[in-house]
Amino acid sequence: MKFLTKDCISAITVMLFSVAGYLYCGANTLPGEGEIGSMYTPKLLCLCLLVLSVLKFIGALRDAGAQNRASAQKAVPDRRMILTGTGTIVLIGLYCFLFRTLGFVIVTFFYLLGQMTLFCPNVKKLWWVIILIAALSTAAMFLIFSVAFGLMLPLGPLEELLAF
Amino acid sequence: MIVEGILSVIASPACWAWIAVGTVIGLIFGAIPGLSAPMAMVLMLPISFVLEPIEGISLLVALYIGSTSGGLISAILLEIPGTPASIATVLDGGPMARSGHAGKALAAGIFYSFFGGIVSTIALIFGARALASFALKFAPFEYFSIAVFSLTVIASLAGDSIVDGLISGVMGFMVSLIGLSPLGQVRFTFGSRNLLSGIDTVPILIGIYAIGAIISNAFGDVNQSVGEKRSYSLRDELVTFKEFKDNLWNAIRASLVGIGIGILPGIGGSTAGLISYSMAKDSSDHPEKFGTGVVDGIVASETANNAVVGGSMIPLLTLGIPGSTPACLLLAGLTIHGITPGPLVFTNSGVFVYGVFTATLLANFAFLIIETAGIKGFVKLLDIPKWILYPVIISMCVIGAYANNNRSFDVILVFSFGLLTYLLKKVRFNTTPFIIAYILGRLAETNLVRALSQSSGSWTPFMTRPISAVFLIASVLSVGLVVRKRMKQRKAGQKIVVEEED
Repeated sequence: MKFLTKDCISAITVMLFSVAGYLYCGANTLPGEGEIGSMYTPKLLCLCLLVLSVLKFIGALRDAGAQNRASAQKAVPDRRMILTGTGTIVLIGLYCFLFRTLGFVIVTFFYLLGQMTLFCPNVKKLWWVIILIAALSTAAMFLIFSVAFGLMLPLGPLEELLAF
Repeated sequence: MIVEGILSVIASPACWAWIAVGTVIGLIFGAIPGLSAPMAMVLMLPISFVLEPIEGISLLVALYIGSTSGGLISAILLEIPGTPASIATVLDGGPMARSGHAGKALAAGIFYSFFGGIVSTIALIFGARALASFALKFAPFEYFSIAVFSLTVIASLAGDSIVDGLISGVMGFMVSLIGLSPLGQVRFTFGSRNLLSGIDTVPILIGIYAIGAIISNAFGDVNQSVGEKRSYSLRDELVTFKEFKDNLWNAIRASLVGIGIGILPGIGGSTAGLISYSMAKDSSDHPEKFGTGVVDGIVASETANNAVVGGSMIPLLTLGIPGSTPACLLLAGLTIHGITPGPLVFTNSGVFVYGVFTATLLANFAFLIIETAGIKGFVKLLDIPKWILYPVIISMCVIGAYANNNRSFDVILVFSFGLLTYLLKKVRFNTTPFIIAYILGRLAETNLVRALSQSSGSWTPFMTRPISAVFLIASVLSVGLVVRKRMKQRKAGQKIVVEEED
């Protein structure tokens, strides 16, 4: 499967997406609607996307050899960097999904703690600095946005305690 | 109206204060490599929501101007451009600093950033009024053609493949179609009530420019050393009258390049700086000295990249078409405050527009004074560790997304678009066409539907109406010329390298 480079895969993905989009538009066109209906522009865009993805696929097939050589020469990414990157995605994801449930204060403090621990090059020496910065930053943000600017941030379980 | 607009800023201590705050924060974000103008602006968007419209927009304008100029500090002292707009500044600023003239390089950079900013603001004041009067003649046909022109220019110039740029643009356009159509039908919501009114601009901008950028950085070396800072002194190093006279034509030409590039959608400061630098080199009596540390190179780069600011605001205010990424954020700010940019902006919000012009002028003076006086402090800020900065920025961005509509759904959107940006970058798609197409999508669709309804479904008027035809031909030419250039480069075996703007 040497022809299946990153570009080929992204071209096929876009191709499938455009076909799915076109079918969706066809299925949701209202009966009796003229040619210039709500699905006219989306259909047009799906067709454009399909043509472009085919062009991308052809280009990717043509460049497959060069791309394979380039990826063979490419240095293997550092394991720590992959862990930091993946960890960051997980932490931001958890932060966003738990924002309402746990409330701004709790989720922000733990997010900052986790993210700084992940990013800090010298966690063992600086653990107390991380805790201090996470606590102070959370407090400062809460005071600025919630108290000074009056934004209604979700407070979760701390609602009774912190609601002004 | 003009006097009222000017006074709305001049007589408001709050505006002065927010311009100063915006300039300082902008300079900090510009100076620190890895942080950017859009990041500073998305971070401050939630604060701008709670301010009076003119105060909020003054803050955003000051952030834009400050961060554009702040990039020169690290470009000169560390030879790392703080923002992509300062790439060309490194070429001569770095060698000047190495040879002990860092102070002179900084002084020239700051002064000519100011020069470019002032010239482009004057162009904004006169150009916007003229373009708005001209744009009153536009019908849906012209609007749609302008949107197509903007999309093709961005797609062909952003990234290293036109096809990828166009795909990214079409995807951005499709995202803008989510929600109610101009004809009232619900599309692409898949039963979600949160998507009925479409996807708001703020979460997308925050997701792309803050979360996406930080996730991408997290897969690299977050704490990479910023390098050795060079010593400098600004004392006795200010630009002399003779130097100003010698570089006057260079600075004027660079300003014009910057304004022109700013008006064209999506190209931005780095291209303006590089084009202006190469023009200065080509027309110089001593081109061989460029790259070894001559002031002329810094003049060309810094004047042009700051002139982009005013240029990009001309189509933003008069047509609702942002000329650069930070201009997209200004558009978001304007929309949040209920200001609708377009040809009627002078009629409907004249006082406000003159207020924005005044704020832009003041912000230029503010960065000249603050950057010159506080340069030592800004240089010290280069030492702030990224492991502290990045998490705090993310938290503030999440607050910004939530504050926009008080919806936790927007916070989830921020994460989704941040992740999408990272994945798009992984497969070498540029996000600039995506965001500009998203911004222009509604405008393009509404005008396409209106135009086709007027012409009973015929596409012919798009080519028979002169202004519309000019823009459509320009779209084809912009793609054709870039394809030709890249084919030539491919044949010559040159690698095509294009920097992602901001």
